[in-house]
Amino acid sequence: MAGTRGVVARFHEVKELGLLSEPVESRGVLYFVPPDRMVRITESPLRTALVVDADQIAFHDGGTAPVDLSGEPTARQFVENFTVLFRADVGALRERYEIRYEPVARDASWEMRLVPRSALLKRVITEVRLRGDTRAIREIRIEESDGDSTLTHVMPVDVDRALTEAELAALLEAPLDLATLPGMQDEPEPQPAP
Amino acid sequence: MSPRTARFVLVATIAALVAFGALNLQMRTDITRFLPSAEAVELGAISRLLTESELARTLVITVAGETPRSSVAAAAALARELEAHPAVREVRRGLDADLPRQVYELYFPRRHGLLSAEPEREIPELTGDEALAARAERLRAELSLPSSTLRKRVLPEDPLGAFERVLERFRSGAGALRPLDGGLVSEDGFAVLFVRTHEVPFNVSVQAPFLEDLSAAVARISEARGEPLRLERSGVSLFAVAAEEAVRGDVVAIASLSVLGVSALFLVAFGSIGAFGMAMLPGIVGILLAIDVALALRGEIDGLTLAFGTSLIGVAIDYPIHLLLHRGLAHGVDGVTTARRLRPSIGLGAATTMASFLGLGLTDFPGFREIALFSVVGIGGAVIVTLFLMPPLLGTRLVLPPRSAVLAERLGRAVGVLTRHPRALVALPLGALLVAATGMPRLQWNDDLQALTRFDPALRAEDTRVRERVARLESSRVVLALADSEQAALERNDAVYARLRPLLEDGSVEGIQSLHTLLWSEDLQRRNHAVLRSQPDLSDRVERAFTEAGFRAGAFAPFAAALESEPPPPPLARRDLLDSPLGELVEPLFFELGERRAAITYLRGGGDLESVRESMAGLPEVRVFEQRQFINEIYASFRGRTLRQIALGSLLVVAVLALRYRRVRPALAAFLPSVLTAATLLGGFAWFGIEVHLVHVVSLLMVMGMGVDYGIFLVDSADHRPSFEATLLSLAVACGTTSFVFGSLVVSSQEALRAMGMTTGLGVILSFVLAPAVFCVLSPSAEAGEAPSR
Repeated sequence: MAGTRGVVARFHEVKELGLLSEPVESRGVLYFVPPDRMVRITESPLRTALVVDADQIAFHDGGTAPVDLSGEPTARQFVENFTVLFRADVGALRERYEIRYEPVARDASWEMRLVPRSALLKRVITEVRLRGDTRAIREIRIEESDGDSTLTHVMPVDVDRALTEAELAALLEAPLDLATLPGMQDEPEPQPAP
Repeated sequence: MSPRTARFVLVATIAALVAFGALNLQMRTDITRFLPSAEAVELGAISRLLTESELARTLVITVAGETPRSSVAAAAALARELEAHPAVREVRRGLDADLPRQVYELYFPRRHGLLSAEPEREIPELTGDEALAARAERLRAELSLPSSTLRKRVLPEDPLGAFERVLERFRSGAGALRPLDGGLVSEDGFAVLFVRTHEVPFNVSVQAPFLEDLSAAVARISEARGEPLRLERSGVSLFAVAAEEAVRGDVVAIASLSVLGVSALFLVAFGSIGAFGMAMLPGIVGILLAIDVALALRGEIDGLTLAFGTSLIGVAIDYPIHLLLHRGLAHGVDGVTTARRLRPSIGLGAATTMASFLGLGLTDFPGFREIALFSVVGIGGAVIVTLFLMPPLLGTRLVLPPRSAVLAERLGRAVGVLTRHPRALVALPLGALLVAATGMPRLQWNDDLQALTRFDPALRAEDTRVRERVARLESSRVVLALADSEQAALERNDAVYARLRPLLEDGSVEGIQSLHTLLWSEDLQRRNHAVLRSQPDLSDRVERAFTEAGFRAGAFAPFAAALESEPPPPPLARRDLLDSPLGELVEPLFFELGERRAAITYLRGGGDLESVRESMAGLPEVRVFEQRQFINEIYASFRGRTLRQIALGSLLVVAVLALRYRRVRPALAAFLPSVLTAATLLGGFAWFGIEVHLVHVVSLLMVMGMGVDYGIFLVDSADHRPSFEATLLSLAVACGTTSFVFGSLVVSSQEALRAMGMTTGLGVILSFVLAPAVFCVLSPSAEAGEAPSR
C-alpha cells in the first residue's frame, strides 16, 4: 500500500482472551490517510471510534467527551505500529521490529512475521503476523505475551481512496456519525476470508 | 545647647535611628490587623494565603511555533535556559513520566474505598444482580476493542470499575492541556511552561530583570530555530512590574514639579533652597523614630502603617517652616528665643495633631492602634527636633531677603482689608459651608480597590488569553470548607463537592479544582469499604453474572480475595499524596491556619456566585469566598471606621483646644477651618461627580491636621502684628510646600496617587484661605473693623 492516497477497509476481528470462555468478535471500518491519520470505527458489538490525527489520539464512545490518549505511551506505540504498517514504511518497521518476510509460492500472497524490538512493546506483544497480496494487507494476527491473540481480517473497499478535506474533517470530528461515513454508503458488507 | 552640641546630637540621633532601622527592618503587610471580627480575621488570613499560594506565584508562559510539535520543542529549549536562571526555582513543562505508575500504586490498592461519593445509596445499586449482569455484558463487549490489552490486566481485581472511576475523576479535573512529546500543549497550539521563582511576584527588583531575560531567551531560541515564536504570559509579577514602570514614569514628572515648585518657593521666601532641607529634617527624624519604636515593640512594621505614616511629613513640615520664618523675620532674635516664644503654639499644634491620631487608635483593632502610635511618636519626634535641636543651629544668622518682610506685611494688609469688609469675609466660610451642605448628601463612595490601579489593556488581554488557554482557575473565587481538624475539613469538602456537582452538570459553574478529585475523607473511604463488604454474597454474584456473560469461571478470584482481606487497606491520606508527584497538585488545595484547617475548591464561572451560595446552604463552616469582593469589603469597613475614628479624634482635638484656650471663640477659630475644609472638599468632590475612596479619607486626616495647625498659629500670634504677619507668611509657605510636595501627585497616572494629590493640594489651599477668614469672623476686633486680635 506504499504510495497510496488513502485506504478505506472493513475489518472483522476475533480476540481470544484468557479472561473469556469464548472468543469475542467485532466489526467495523478503517480509514487510513497517509502519512499518519487513521480512524478505526467499531460498529459492533459497541459503536466506538479510535481517531488518530498525527500526534493526537482520541477514543470516542458516544458518551461524554472523547478520551485523550495522546499522552499514553502504550497507546501511542500501538497506533504508530498500525500507521507504519499501512503506509508500508519499511525503514520505520525495521526500527520497531525484527522482520521475516515469506512469499507464498502458490499465489501472489505473502506472509510477514514481526518481532518487537522495544522493551515496552515486548512486555505486551510477542509477535505480529501479517498476510497479504499484491493489493493490500489481508490479515493481521497479534500474539500477546500472556497468551491472548487477536486476528483481524481486513477487507479493503478502496486501497487508493483520496478523502476530500471536508470528508476527512467530518470523520475526525464526528467519527460516530455512521450515516456520513465516506465510501461506505452503498457497499454490501463482505465476508471474511476463510 | 550650643550649636555644635545640637549638631552633634542631631547627627548622632539620625545615625542611630537609621542604623537601628536598617538592622532590624522587617516589614509585613497584614490586613487582618484591621479586620472587625474573628471570622473576618480567619478569612483575611486565608485571603493572604491565597495571594501567596504557589498557584498565585506561578508564572504561566506559553510559546507558539509553526506547529504544536515545534512549539513544544521551543518550549523545551526555553525550559532548559530558565532552569539555569538564578531567579527561577522550578520549571514544569509536562507531566512526570512516572506519574501513571505512581497513580496506580497510590490508588489501585485503595480503589474500593474510593468507589462512590454516596456509598449507602450507590453501592447497593452498582452491586445489584441486574447491574452486575449489565456491567458484565458491557465489559465483554469492551474487551473487543483495542483497549482490551490494558483493561484485561485490572479486570480480575476490579470488575466493578472502582479504579476506572478514580481515573475518570482525574480526567474531569484535568485542564485544557494535552501531553505531547513530553510537554503540554493547548488547543490553539501553544506549548505551556509553569515557572516558579524564588522571590514573590511583588519583588519587582528581581521580577523585572527576569522578565526581560525571558523575552531575550525566546528571541534567541527563535533565531536559532529559524522560526518565529509567539510568547504570551500570565502572572501577578507582570502586573507588579507594569505598575512599578508606570509609577517610575510618573516620578520624573512629579519630582520635577515638586522640586521646581518648592525650590522657587524657598528661594522667594528664604533666599535659599537649603532652608528646605532644614524644614524636612524634623519630619524625617520623626518618621525614623516612629519606625524604630514600632520595630522595638513588635519586631516588624506593617506596610499600611508605614504608608500612612509617611504622610506625616506633610503635617510635620509646618512646624519648622513656622519657626524658620519667625526667626528670619525677627531681626536680632536668635533661634532659641524664637523657639521659646513659639513653643506654646507649635506644642499645641502638635498636641492636637497627636490627639486626632490618638482618636484613630481608640479601638480594638491592632492595626489602627499601630498607626496611632506611629503617628504620635512621629509627630512628637518632629516637634522635639523643631523646638530643641533646630533652634541652636539657627542662631541669628538666618537672614531672609527683604521681599519676605514685604510679603508678610502685604498678607497682613490683605487680611485687614477683609476684616473691614464683613460681607466678603463671611462669604468665604459661608460659601464653603454651602458647598459642603449641598454636596455631601450626594457623595458617592467607591470601595473597589481595582479602581485605584490602571493597567495596559493589552497586558490584561494577554493575561486573559493565557488563562483561558490553560483553563486556569482563579484563586479569587473559592469555596472554603473550614474545620478544627484535617479530617473534618475533608468531610466538609466531600459535602461541598456533592453540592457543586449539579451546578457543574447544568453549566452554572464552568469548572472546579477540588481536593475531592484526589482525596476523600477517611470516613467516606471507610464507609465505602463497610457498605461494599456488607453486600450479601457479592463475590459469588459477581462470579455468576460474569460467567453467564461469557467470562471464564474463577477469573475474578482476585476480586473475592480483595473483598475478604483483613484489615482493609488503610485509607488514602493527604500525607501519602504530599510525598508523591501529586503533592504539587494537593498543596494549593489545603491550608493550615494555626489550629484550623481549610480545604479549598477553586471555581471557574459561577456568575455572581449566588447559585453557589444557595447550594451551600446548611453546610456548617463552608464559605463561598470571592477575594476581590472580600478585600473591597475590608477596605470599605476600614474606610468607614477611619471616618468614625477621625470624628472621635476631632472631639479630642476640641477638648485639647478648649483646655488650652478656655474660651469658645479661639478654640473654634483654631478648629473650624479643618472641619470646614474637610466637608467642603467632600462636597466639592460630590459636585464634580468624583467618587471618593480610602485614599481620599487618609489624605483628609493629613489635611485636617494642617488645618488645625493653621488655626492655632493664627490665634496664638494675633496679639502682635509682626508675629501675625510672620504667621501668615509661614502659612503661605507651608501651604505652598505641601501643595508642591503632595499636590504634584495629581499628575500621576495612578488613581491612588492622583487622589492623594488632589485632596492634599486642594485641602491645604482651602485651609490657607479659610483659616484667616474664620479667625477674622470669630475675632472680636473684626466687629470693630480693626486688626485681628485674640
